[in-house]
Amino acid sequence: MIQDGTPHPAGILSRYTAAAGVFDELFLPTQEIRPHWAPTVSAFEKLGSEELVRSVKESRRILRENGVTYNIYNEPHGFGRTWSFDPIPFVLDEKEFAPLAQQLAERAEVWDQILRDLYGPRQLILTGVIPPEIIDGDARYLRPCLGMLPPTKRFLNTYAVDVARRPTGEFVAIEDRTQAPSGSGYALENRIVQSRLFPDMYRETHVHRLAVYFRSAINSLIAAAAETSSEPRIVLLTPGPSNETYFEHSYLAHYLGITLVEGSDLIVHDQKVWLRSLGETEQVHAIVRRVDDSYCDPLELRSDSLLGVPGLLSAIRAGNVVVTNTPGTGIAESPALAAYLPIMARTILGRDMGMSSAQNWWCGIPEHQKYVLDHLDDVVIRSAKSQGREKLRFPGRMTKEERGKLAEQIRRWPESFAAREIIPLSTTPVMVADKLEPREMVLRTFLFSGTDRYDVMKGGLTRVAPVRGQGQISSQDGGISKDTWILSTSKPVFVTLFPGTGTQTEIRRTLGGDMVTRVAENLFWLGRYAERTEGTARLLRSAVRRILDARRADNVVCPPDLLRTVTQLTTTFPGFLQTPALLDHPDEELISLVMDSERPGSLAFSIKGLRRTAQSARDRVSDDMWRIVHTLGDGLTTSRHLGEVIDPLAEVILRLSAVAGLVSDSMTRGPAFWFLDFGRRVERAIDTTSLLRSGLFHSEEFLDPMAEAVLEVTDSVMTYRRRYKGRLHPGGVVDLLLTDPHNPRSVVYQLLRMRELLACFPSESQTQSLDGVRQLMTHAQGTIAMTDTDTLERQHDDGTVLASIGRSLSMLESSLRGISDSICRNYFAPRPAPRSLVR
Amino acid sequence: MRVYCIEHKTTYRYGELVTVCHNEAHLQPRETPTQRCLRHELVINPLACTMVRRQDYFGNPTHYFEVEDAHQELEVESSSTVEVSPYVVRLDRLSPPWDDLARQIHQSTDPGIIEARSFSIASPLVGLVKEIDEYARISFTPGRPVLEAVSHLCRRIFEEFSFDPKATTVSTPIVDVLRQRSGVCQDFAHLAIGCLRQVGLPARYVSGYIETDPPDGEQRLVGADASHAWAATFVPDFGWIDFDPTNNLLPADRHIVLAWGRDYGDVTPLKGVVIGGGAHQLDVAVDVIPRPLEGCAYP
Repeated sequence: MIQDGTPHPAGILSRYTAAAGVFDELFLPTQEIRPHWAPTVSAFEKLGSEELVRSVKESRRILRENGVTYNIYNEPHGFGRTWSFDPIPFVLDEKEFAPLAQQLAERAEVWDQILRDLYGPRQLILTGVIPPEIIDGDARYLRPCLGMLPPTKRFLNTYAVDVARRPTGEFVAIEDRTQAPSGSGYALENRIVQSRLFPDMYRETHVHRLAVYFRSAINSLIAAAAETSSEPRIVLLTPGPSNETYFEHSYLAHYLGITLVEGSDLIVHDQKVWLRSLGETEQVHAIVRRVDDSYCDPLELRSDSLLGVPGLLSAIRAGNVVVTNTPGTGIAESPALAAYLPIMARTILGRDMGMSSAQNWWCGIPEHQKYVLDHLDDVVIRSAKSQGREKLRFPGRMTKEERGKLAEQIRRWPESFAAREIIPLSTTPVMVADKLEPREMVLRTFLFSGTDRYDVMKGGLTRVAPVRGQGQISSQDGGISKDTWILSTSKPVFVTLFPGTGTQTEIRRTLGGDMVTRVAENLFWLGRYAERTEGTARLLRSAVRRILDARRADNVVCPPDLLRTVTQLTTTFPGFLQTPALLDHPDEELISLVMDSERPGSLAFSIKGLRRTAQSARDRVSDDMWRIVHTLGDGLTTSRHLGEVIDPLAEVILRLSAVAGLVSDSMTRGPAFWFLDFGRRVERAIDTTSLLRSGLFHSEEFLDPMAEAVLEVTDSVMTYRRRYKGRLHPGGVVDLLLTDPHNPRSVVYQLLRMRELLACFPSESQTQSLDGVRQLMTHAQGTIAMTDTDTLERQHDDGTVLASIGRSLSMLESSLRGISDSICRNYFAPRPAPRSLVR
Repeated sequence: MRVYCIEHKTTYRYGELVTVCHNEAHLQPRETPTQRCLRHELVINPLACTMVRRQDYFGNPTHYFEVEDAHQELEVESSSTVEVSPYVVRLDRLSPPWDDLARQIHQSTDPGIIEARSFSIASPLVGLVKEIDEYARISFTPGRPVLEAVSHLCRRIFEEFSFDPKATTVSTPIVDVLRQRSGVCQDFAHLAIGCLRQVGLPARYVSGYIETDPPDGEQRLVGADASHAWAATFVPDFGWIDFDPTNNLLPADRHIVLAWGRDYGDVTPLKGVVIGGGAHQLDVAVDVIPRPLEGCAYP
């Protein structure tokens, strides 16, 4: 139906009308479809709008499940916001892309030479090509990096350019990303979602694969690091989970098979970089850096940085580590310098660059300032010196007063302002409800320096404006992104990141001396949070169930002790313990304990901790486990009545059983498992002890219904019934949950498991002595052995016996907490944040 | 020509154990047209496991060292022997009007002048502020010979400000120094630099030492000296000319240069990043001892 180049009148394009005065990617000016789009559009027409609408929903589910997020700063719910995806790819023909790629590579070459000059002979400044003010007055120019020629012989190893298209169809570079360009991981994820949504279409269309680019990138990094080691270790340095693109960092590290680290995981010793891991520390030969330039080294750069590694610059200078990009490359993002790019390029190449750039002006030059002030409507105003995020200013959209104020500021501090021409962006089809509509777009392209030239990713990250006519597109402003298809003239080759089958692989069974200490710590807490979350959910479910039952039937009561136990175990004081009035109206308090994620002790709070630790240990958590944990508790956020929380609570409990199953059945018995399982065991032992103490030995009233609740919370009702034929008595409950070595829920069982795990833990050194832990374990087991359940059985109405058992349980609890503290101290503790001292 | 032996000892005492520290020192006197460093030694206690020397961006000798022995006290002893020749001030070359020079500097295509021009830009510790501008313009009146204007500024700072080590810290902004009219040599140098940059002249910060005389009839006291700081400005046909606002003089052969940069932040004598340590206490002892060439024994 598209053979003649015109779309079907009732099809998905029925509402698509390209605006005049801009370039439309899909339509020719004659309203005919451009030939390279025809097969794709035809395939989507065949699917129909219903199927497309379904795919939008499906894409959201996939992204959510995969945990594809983008953190928006300064927004309460901005943390971990799901990436927005449009299922219609941006399609470009290889014939058109190839010359663009060539121009991009030339542009990268020019920037690299500029950087090498600025951090070397400074000829561009000394011969008057650029004024010294724009370099020497910019905090992005890092003086300690002068003369620091990296082993790759290049400053710019990874590079990204935002490309737009003028109304004439000419590509134009609007922004350069040179210090730690982000987005390539999102481009990869978009591709994965796209190919999962429409596997047939993707197979039949000859789309260039992205893996080629990543393979070449990692190979050239290995080659660069190979100068210092035959088996180089490469890490990806992230600022941590709160960074806007953290998802991408963990995703890329996972995909490239390199270790994800934070600054505090690395230490410089003898001008070499080492990774702090549980076994011996290992040397790091290359760092893919996602920490901003000035934060890389608190010794020589920003002294307030906690994200960097003290001494890193010294290690780079000594040639002992390759860092991509070399710190200092951020100066190439200066809008003032951008104004001089054409003339710098002419100086370097002896001719004009192939690629056109959006025109830039730096107001520090009187003629430029005059031009900008005379053409305020046609430019976007940028700060010449601010680092990082800034809000672009469009004088054309300002009130007269605002414009006047801005013009006054420009006149007063001209050096602080730069401007860029506004380029009318080209439009591309986007799904809006059930039809396609044109939206403005920007394509982010990615480059990596190969051995002798720059490789360009045949693909990219296409971002579109969420509404028409926005003029600027940024992920921070909630833009939508889509896959980018570069159509190959021939069938593309299949590429995998695994080396070919021809290569000999040595069988390895090393048990992760490469376990980063911070990751071990997060896994330990992941185990504790998973167990605590389950315990809290079970306890809350028991309480809510009884309250609801009591409202339906007269002969049922919810023992107030159970509610008091809820407060005690979740440590949410004053709660039911100190506010007796709440016992009669418990709904609001209980709902808050389920849903209020800001309240320490609540279920939602514990789920938050679970997600956070899972995210921080992302590269050690399997995809399946990650999916469960990442979406855990999603059903909890909407309940307003007590009756509505039962199902979501059951769902949480069920999903956590799945986590437990994955841990015991799918995790390799190595450090990751040891620490995670130890965390689970110690938490379960503490929780059960605490439940017994608070649930059974608080008062004698309601002993039977309380015993029943305790069994329910510990999932031991069935075992108990089978053993005691339904007769409830505290002695039996205590025996089953405290001293029975065969019950996987008993405290003694946890202690036995912990002993086994402890034997596996990485070797002890002077600083890591586990004797203390063993002593505490022996002490705990002794306490349990001496707890006289028989006496309790015979005289459970005797207050002194109850009190004595209560005391034993409290001693036991403190031994168990001591075990946890001791593990933390031995393995995780000695890493207070570095501090700068200046004299 | 004079020869000095300089002993500069820095001691950090920590409340808690420091497990690792990474440090950078600007403690070796640099070579200048009027100064030669005959001997320099840097001794760290506990012993540094790595020590590397390089030249920084401004050409100053810079030491990087790591200490990995756990410690509660770190001692850094720098000792040097320096030969200083008197500084010859060519008055004829320092008489052009400062405003002509400022214009010349900003229009010149001479690489040496372009390099100097970078020092007329605001730096992290010396920002451009209106109040500084007002203060500067009193000395920098239109058409005034540059040396006269600089000397006038120097004298005003000397006369109008009181020397008070308790008045400021390393991070006190120069506007506060200007408002409270007190500070130490480092503040006065920053203020003078701010004034020069404000009127478009290049200015750099010089870190170093000064020979002090014991009071008449008294023996000089060990450790009584301190590190010193002053400023310098650039005059195209002359070069950099140093001036010391704290003492209201042009340095001759009693000032010893350690390093120069845009401001104190570029040439901090000793800085470090420690892990552990808790609260800390710092002691600095400096001795500048004039000696005949033959020997230089520490008293």
